[in-house]
Amino acid sequence: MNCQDAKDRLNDYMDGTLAAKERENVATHVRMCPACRRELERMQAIAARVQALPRDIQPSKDLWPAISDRIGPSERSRTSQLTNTGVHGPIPLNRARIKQPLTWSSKFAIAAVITCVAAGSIWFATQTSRTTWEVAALEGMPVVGSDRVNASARLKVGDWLETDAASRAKLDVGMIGEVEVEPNTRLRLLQSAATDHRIALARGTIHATIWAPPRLFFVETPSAIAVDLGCAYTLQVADDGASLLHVTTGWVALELAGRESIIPAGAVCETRPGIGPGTPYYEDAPEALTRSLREFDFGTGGSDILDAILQQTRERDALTLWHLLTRVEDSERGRVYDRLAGLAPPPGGVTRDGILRGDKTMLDQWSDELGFGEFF
Amino acid sequence: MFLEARTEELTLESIPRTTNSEADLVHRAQSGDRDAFELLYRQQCGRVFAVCLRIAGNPARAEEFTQDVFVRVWETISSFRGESAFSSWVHRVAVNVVLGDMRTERRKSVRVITAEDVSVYDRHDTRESPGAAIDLERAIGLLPSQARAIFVLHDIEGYRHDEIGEMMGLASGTTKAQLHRARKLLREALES
Repeated sequence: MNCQDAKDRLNDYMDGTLAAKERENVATHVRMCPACRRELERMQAIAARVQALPRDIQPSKDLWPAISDRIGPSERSRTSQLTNTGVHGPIPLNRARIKQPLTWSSKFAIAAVITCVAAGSIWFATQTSRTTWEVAALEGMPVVGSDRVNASARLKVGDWLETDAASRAKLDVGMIGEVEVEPNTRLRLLQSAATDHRIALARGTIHATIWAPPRLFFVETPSAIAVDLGCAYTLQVADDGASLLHVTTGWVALELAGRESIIPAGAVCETRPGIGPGTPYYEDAPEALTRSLREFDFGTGGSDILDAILQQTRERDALTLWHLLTRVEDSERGRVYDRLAGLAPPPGGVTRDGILRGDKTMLDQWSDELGFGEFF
Repeated sequence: MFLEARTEELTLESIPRTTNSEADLVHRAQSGDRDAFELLYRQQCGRVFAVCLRIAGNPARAEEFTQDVFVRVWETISSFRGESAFSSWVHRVAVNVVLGDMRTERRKSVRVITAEDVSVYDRHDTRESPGAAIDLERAIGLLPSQARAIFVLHDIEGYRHDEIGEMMGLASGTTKAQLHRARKLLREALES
């Protein structure tokens, strides 16, 4: 795919309307081509600004008197109706009162009521127009709540979406992306606000594609929270709560209780309940390295395991070593520094002593040099 | 004494029994209760005005459209069966009113947002700086009318191309092309 082909498809790519193969082709091109990536980022930036516009704008004057005049007199007396039914009490606003000259205190009171009503309608608009996500059945009959989905359904905040062994689904993430839900998956919509699109993935596999700016889409698992940083990824959660993240485009952060891993395209990261995210590594890392990292992160660890990791890392594994700088014991940090400095020398101003004492500025400078500074 | 006085005031009989839930208000409005309808108007007015303003691109026309919308809602509220949220139903009426005007009237005057007109956007909060939001609203307001309507319906209001095509009497391919055109023009306006 050349640049023109990619540019012709960027709108559809952003809208999530391309077929899977074509979407992958565009994603691959965008990943490789800085010019098209910039183009897409500019489009996404404007889309995010548009999404942030308020749904509610009040007119410059109260339109009710004119509307009231046009709809004519009430068909029957409200007072007698209310008295007769005995169910409803008085309604606080009525046209007669509004038409009377207003004192400052009554103007203030009406302004307060209108403000509250406006705030309420913003809340309501949010609840109705953004808190339901469309679910489309891709195969079989997924279940939303207790209802089987033939073709499509709406997922409300609090609803569960579940697929069995024979069903798959596609879930629109508001207007910022989509999630394909593989068989035997169970997830729940937790939040849907302009700045916080959040699901809980209890088990199973999802493929997320998000075209919004970073930190608008979150997936909570039993062992970490996946934070979208502008990306596409696959996240799998096992029944014991452990998860595996595989990033295909962009970056994802995994966070739990102050422990954070940043995972770029082509890298994976495992998580465990009670521990959080492990150390990320590239998917082409040697099997021995991934075994050692698993033992270091979730097993007994120890100096021998760290020795093995340092020996097994390649130049490409600077990502892994940088994460280890803040995860090893103070006494072991020097060995990690030496290995990383040997593979990817630190920039000017970053010293061994500074890194050993955990100087955050120097760690950030080094991460910048390694190409992932913007996320730390 | 004060507490005793408060205790005396706060009785079951003294507490208003009205709930003013949306369903309650709709039911009462369907029975001809204009006060209930006024409350519904006040709940929905901001959202209706916003969509009218953005599609029409003109605050004065948007106010006329907003009035038309609520008159039509009042006239047809008995046909509302609660199959969708009342707010969604009103929103759809609003879109139909504005698009109907675009389709049939094809106003002769060119509608552009003047510097005075954009002051309407000063009154609400946005997540961005107010200046940036006004620039964005101004840029949307200056889009060609059909492209603007499609952009507003798709990118702001969340309608699908097939729904927009049905409402505007256009093929989905046309709405998609107009949407891409609108986005391009918007980007050029914002980046110039």
